This record gives sequence, structure tokens and C-alpha cells, in this order.
Amino acid sequence: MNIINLQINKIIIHQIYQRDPDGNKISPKQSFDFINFDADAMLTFKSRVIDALGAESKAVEMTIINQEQTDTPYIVNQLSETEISDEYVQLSYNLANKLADAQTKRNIPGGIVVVFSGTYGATPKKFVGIMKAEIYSAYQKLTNENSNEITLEYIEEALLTPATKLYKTAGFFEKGELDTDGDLNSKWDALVCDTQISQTDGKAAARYFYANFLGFGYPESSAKTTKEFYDATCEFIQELDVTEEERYDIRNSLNSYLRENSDSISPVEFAGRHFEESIRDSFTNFLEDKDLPTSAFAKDIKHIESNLKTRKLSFSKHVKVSAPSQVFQELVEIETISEDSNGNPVNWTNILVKDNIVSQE
Amino acid sequence: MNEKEFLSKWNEERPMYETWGDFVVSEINSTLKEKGYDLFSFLKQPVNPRVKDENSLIDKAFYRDKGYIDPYDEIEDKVACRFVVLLVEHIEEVTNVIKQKSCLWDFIECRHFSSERDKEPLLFTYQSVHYVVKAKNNINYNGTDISAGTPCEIQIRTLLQHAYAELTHDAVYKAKTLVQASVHRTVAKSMALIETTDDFFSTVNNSLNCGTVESLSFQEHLDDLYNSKIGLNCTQAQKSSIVILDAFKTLINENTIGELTSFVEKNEHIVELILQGRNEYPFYSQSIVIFLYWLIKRNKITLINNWPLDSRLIQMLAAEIGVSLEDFG
Repeated sequence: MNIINLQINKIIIHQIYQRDPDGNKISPKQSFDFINFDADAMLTFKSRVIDALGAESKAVEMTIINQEQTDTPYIVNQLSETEISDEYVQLSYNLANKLADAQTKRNIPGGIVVVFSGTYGATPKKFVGIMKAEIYSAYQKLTNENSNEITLEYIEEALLTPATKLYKTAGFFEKGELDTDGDLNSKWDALVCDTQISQTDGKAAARYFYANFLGFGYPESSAKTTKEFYDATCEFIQELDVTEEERYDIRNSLNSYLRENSDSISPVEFAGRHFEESIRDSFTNFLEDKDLPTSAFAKDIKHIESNLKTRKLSFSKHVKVSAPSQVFQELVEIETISEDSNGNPVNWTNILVKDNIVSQE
Repeated sequence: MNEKEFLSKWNEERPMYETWGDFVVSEINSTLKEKGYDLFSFLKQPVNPRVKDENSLIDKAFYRDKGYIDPYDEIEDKVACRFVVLLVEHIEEVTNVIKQKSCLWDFIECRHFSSERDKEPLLFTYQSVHYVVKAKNNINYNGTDISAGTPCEIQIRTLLQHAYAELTHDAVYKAKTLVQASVHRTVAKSMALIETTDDFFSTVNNSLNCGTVESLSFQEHLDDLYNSKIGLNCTQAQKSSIVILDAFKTLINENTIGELTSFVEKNEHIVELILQGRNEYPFYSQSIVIFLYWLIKRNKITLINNWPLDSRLIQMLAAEIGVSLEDFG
């Protein structure tokens, strides 16, 4: 999402804990003071937030499902109307409590819940962010001033270092439209980013976080966005200055990427996996110029199922080769022939099918 | 005209010649400045017009067998000035200015080393470019009237040619004794070497300026873009700017300035960000900051993988325009 001019003016943290061995919730530890970061620390924190939720991030735009008074989105909405006060502290603590409730499984670790809010945009609109950061141990490098010797100091509790990526972030960004129907979706853009979720888990974020805690669901527009992404990416691949073999491979990877067991699509991730470094930026620019998302979005392949099911190659004289995508990728190999046996330039394609013919018409 | 008449006319007109010399130098200098040259570094010595000393003028007019019919009018270097520059190409920049100002004066090229080289290819001797400019109309400058037709000689040469001229003028031509052939030979060898070195200097300079960034005058255009969009003048590009441009020179082509311009127009808030940033960090006063926002927005992967400086700078700029710097490659 485009988040320019992010100004964070309230930050408060609470600590939540892993469930006890019997699976009982341990109440979060509440703090009562707001945090004052110095300029450097604030810049670092802002960078974490933008890296998680900004343009070209892995954050997925979601729909707000749970809108009851006790649900997280409702509390967030209240929080956005609240100045620095005891009430703000209490509301933010309620959020930590909600998260502790949602962490029903015993293996989910505790951590720090950072609740922060402020404004964003050229004409400032409100936003509220919630970050759950896991605590881990780390080392800090120290250099002895006299001997120049380097030592490591053990830090039992560290959090939010960029490389470990042990944090989940949710963001509520005010749309700036009039909230007429009372639906929180008309008022807020809801984003979630989970740097800990692996691709194979398939979700936009851990379920306890995005559904149970935040009350989010996948948006209905996903199918349309997914199809637009697919069409645009096909067009981009078609225009790439590569050999036909390479084009064939990239098209296959697009099909496999979309068939992966994952609930979200990240254009930047797709480009990172399948495009040369030199064209990754042009790909995101291409999408942006078409007003398509460059950040991640929820996947729904409803409209492109048939495209993904079958791979088809067509030639100028009506020769067609088609097969189920998976089979095509495994059993069909193509090679471009640029010279015939006499050395004359030609534009031919050699197709190898690793199978026998079972019928002919 | 006898010597006495000559001298009395000269004494009367001398202030006019001095003023004409001042006028010519100030016109050329200000035009060079307008073209963007820093005179302090472009001119290797300050240009001070000099009128001829009375004795040497008389000597030249009457005793050196120059064959003058009207020595007063025929001697055109009664006032003269000299432009010393580093490179042979720079000489042309100065002569272009002389030619450009033809509304103020008529100019004649009296000598040019390249035509002399063509004429005498085996000779290595004094090299310089001499022009004479004569006032086109009667003018008044700094309260002094200058008659149309008043001449001023302009010499233009490279630093090395100048060194040669200094040596030969002072040590060889003014030598009190007969100069040996071997000295002449050594002087000629020096000029051969100087001509060679001047060529090498030009080669070095041309190779340094042949990159896209230089040949497109990218930095200058970026400065112009900054000044016009931000409404405040940028400071001179520092070493960090040069390092950044060098790291991303492959992304720069003849369309880049156009892209940057529409980028700033499309993302108006960048102007605000730069104005705010200027209050806290001097970096925002350099025009390169626009290029960096553009890199973050349009060439993120290339930027991340080739960033030559402390990464906190791009973290800060990326956070401002809301671009995630996570790389999934």
C-alpha cells in the first residue's frame, strides 16, 4: 500500500506470554507509559513498519469481518479517536489481551505487542498499527576502546532486528471517504503482514493472527485482482526480450506460482524468484503503470482456472500443442532452431514429448 | 607623424585604450561566466589588459624596420590582454565568445597555431592564438569615450604554450649575448614536447568526460530540475552525489531527466519531503535526492544490490515515500 508521510505519534507496548503447560492463558503485562523514541530509533521503527506494510511489501489487503464491539477492528476504531490518555492505554491493553486470547495453541510464543498510531498521506489521515514482535536472544558487538578487541555481549531479550523477521504487523489506514454505512471496511484499509509465515503454509498470515485476533478475511475482489495480475504478467512475459525457450520456462513458472498452495500473491516475490535481477524493477514498474498492486494481495484463481489447467503453444500454421499444465511442464521440452541443416536461417521449434502416441485422428 | 607627434597623440588617447581593454576583458569574462564557467578555475591567470609601455611603443614604431606607413594606426597591440587556459579545447571556447560578440566589435584572427602548423609542419616554435578586436561604434564606458575602430589585441593560449612563451620571451629573445644554436634546438624540442603533452592532456580530459553522466550533463539538468521544482537552489553536488551517480550510471540515458521530471510531477509530496528534510539534513539540499527517490520507487532491486553508501540513507528516504525495502530475490 502507498503510505507516504507516515508520522507515528503514539507508541505503547505490552508483553504477552506463551500459554502455560496446561494451555491456560497468562494475562499480558501492561505498561502505562508511552514510548519516546529518539530520532534514530524512530527512523528504524518506521522502516520496519514501511518494510512490512509499504509499497512492494508482502502485506496483504484484507476485509474486516468481525465488527462487534468486543472485536479488534472495533477497538482499533475507538483507539483512532483517542488522544494520549489512560483510555488509550486501556484500549491498547485490550488489544494485547485479545491477542493473548487468540493464541489458543500452546506452542505459539509470547512477545511484545506494540500498538502505535498517527497519520499518513499528503493530506493527513489516521492510521493504527499493531505489531507482535517475538523476543529472542542475540549478541551485541562491543569494541574495547583501548585494545580495539572485539567482544560479544549476550543479550537475553532482543526484538525487531531486520534479519530475524520475527514479527507480524497489522495496519488500519483511514480511507478518507465518509463512513456512511457504518461498515468499518468503508472507513479503513486493513493490511496484514507476517514475515514468519512460510510460503508452504499458504496463508497471508498465521490464522490465529489474521482471523482470530484481527477478525480479517480475504477480500472478494481477489479473483478479479488475481486475473488482472495473471493477464498483465503474461503480457509482460510476451514482450520480454528473451529466447522462446526462456519465455516458455517463465510462463511455466507463472502457472506453477499461481497453482502453489498459498493464499496470497506477491508480485515482488514472484519477480525475485523467476526474473533476472535486471528486469525485476521493470516488472514492478509495468504493474504499477497499469495500476495493479505491487504489494501482495489475496489470491483467488476462480477466473483463471482454465488458463492454469492447460498450457497451450500455438504456431502460425495452426499447429497446436496442449496439455495439462503440470504434464506440460514435466513431459514437454522445447528448443528454438535458428538454422536448418544447410545453414540457412529459419525460425523453427523442436518439440520433445517424453511419451508415446496413444491415438491419432 | 614624427616621434613627438606620435607620443603626444598616444598620451592623449592612452586612457581611451585602457578603457577599451577593460571593456573587452569584462565582456569576454562575463560571457564566459554566463556560459557556466567558473572563471577562477577556467582562467589560469587573471586577465589584466595592459597598454604598451611608451618606450617599447616608440621602438616598435620607428626603430624595428617594420615598414609601417602609419605606425600609430598600424600597431594594433597598443592595448592587449591574454587569456591562459588549461586545454587546447578551451582556447576555442574563448575564441567563440570573441566571435559571438560581433555586435560590439569587428574581429580579425591574426594568428592561429593550427594554421601555422599546416603552413610549416616541420617547425616547432611559439604557438598562440591572436585576435584583434576593433570597436564597432563610438561608445562610452565608465565615463570614457571610445572611438569606433579602436583596436585591442587578445592572446589566447594554453598553460604550457604560455610557459614556452614566457621562457623564450624573457630568456631567449632578450638575451644579452648571441644565443647558441644548441639553445634554439632545445627550445624547439620543448615546443615539440609541449604540443605532445597538450594532446595528451586533451585525451585525458576527453576520456574523463565521455561517460553518459557527463556527456548528457546529467548533474546540471538534475540541478535545474531541483531548483525549478523545489523553488530553492540546490547546493553543489558533493562527493556522495558523484559516488551515487557512478554506481547507477547504467540506468541513466537521454530519457532519464524527462522521467524524473514527470516522477516529481506525479508525486507532488516529494517536494514537501525535500523541503522538510532540508531543515534537518544538508543532504536534502543536493539535487541527487530526487534521483534517489526515483531509484527507490522505480529501480528498487538495482538500488538495493548496488547501493554504495550507508544503507540508513535509503532506509530513511524509503520510509518517507512508503516503499518497503524487503528484497525477495
